[in-house]
Amino acid sequence: MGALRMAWKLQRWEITTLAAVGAVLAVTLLAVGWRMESVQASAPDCWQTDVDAVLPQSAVNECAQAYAEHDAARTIGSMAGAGVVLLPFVLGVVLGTPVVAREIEARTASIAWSVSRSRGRWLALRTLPILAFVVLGIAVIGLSSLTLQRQLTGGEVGFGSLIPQLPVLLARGLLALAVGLVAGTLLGRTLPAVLASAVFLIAISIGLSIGLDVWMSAEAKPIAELDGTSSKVYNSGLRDDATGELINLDAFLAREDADDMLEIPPPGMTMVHWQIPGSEYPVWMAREAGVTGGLAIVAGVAFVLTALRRRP
Amino acid sequence: MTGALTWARFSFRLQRLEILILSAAVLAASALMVWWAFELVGLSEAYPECDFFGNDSDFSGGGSACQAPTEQFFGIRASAEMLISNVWLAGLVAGLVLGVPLVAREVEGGTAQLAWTIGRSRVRWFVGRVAFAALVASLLLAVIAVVTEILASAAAPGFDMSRDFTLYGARGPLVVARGFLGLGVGVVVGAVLGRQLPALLVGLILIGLLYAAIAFGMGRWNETEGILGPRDQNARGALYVGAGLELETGERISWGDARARDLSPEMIEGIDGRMYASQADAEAGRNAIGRRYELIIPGERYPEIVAREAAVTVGLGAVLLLTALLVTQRRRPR
Repeated sequence: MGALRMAWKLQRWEITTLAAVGAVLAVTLLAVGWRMESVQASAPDCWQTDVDAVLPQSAVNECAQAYAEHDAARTIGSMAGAGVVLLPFVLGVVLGTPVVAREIEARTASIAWSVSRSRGRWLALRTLPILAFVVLGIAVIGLSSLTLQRQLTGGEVGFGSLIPQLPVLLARGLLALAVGLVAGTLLGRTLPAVLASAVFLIAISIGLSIGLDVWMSAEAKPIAELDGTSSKVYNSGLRDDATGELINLDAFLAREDADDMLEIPPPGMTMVHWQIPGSEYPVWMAREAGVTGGLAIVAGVAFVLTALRRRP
Repeated sequence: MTGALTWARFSFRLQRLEILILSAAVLAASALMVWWAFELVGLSEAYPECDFFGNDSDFSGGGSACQAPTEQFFGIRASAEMLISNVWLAGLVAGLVLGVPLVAREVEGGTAQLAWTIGRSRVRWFVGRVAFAALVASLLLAVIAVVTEILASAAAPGFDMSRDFTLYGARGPLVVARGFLGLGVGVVVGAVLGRQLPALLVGLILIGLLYAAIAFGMGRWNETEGILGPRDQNARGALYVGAGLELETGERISWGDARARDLSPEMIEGIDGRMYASQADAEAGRNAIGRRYELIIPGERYPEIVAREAAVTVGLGAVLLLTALLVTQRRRPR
């Protein structure tokens, strides 16, 4: 309880600002999600999946109105969704960097570390409440976004999702927190540490994104049907129905006889797409969470080691 | 001269970590963009027959030999555009990061009283600190502004990008102008709150709101000056500021108004370019509702429109800096 009170007193400005931003975001996510759901519920025929069904003129007008309202809510929802993606990074960095940096910057580190029983205990008491706040904040935002997420993806679970699943959000938040703690400890200045953490996290995110993409493209399988927006498609090609031989579409089109063909795929061949089906989305989310979480653990260990050896 | 050097050295020492990190980020981003620009220029010069953008009216496709360089060109171009499209943030962030600590760090560290009493006046102290931050922000962002222009030109060979709204706002002088806005927001919020990190957070929110307000205001202003775009082709390099339906009576209404007036939401465009309520009407060419129109600002006005938005952005930044000066003058140092 004492640790919580201390964390609050030392970081009340940041916690209050972030809590306010988080509350506005959570309310927006819930309100937009419910709004989209209620628009759909009020005109269910407009979202029927039977493409051949013909609507009467009165229903067409009603649907136009419903689509317009749904689209307006979707626009706000997409912006709020971007906020959900950003928030774990902001929470982690803004709360992580000042834990050690502010003590060093204000020259109070030597007092704080000497009055505590050990530096390890001081670190634990200062870091754990912040960790709890980051996890709680991300959990609230992640859960608030579920209805909206369902609406944005039309209920499909897959790679078209704007907002990643909760474990990925949590892993990103923990990584940002650990990076912020390390940067704050190394630099000993809050604002430069925030900046350095942001630059480092952007670089890590780009690297992770490229790495995962390479991993996924290596595991993509040639499948004949395209799985809407929920699958991740890497390449297209043709499969010889008789031999099962696969040929890349670009390589096929570069063949001399390709220009003479009346239709693609030609008879006896089937168009295939190298893709990761949407059904594997949770597996890849778990992998991403695992890799990001692993990096967070590495950064966390680096923080403990640097903080224990840092001169105040 | 000695005074200026002392001022620069002292100011740099107070913000050296922020300046060094920002410089490293600017340097890395610029190096990447220059490298991409070289690659793009190299490809366009090595394969003039490929005519990546179809400038040549006699273009025959370039054959299969053009497939690989075309893919390579557009691959680099896509990455370059993605980076340039996010660069507009650099101005705001750099300004904010340099602006927030100017007053807030002194107040937070308890050194404001000392700094404000040993100087000849608080105004002089404030101007000296802001001037250095503005100088650093301008220099760093000028590099980004020049490099984005070079890369944008390399990504569109054969086009005059000084008369083209492509990537409007993400390249050139507007990047620097936004630095002044970020600086103004950072200094004023830092002076009011007196705490760096909360000021950074509040500053980010405030900048988002101001940026949205400027974008909205400039959009409406541009809309009033839009002229009718060509109906049968894209206006290359133009800024699209509005679109809607021109009724047969000549009245122009937005698509939202068309929906509100209960005009058929599923209009069909006939081969004559007019809009019809049904396929049968379109085929018979009867009961036309109107035709779509687009309002544009032609590419020739690019320098003027950029200068206008830059002036508004810098002006707002200056107002914020003046506000920060007033706040600092009246502020208690703790």
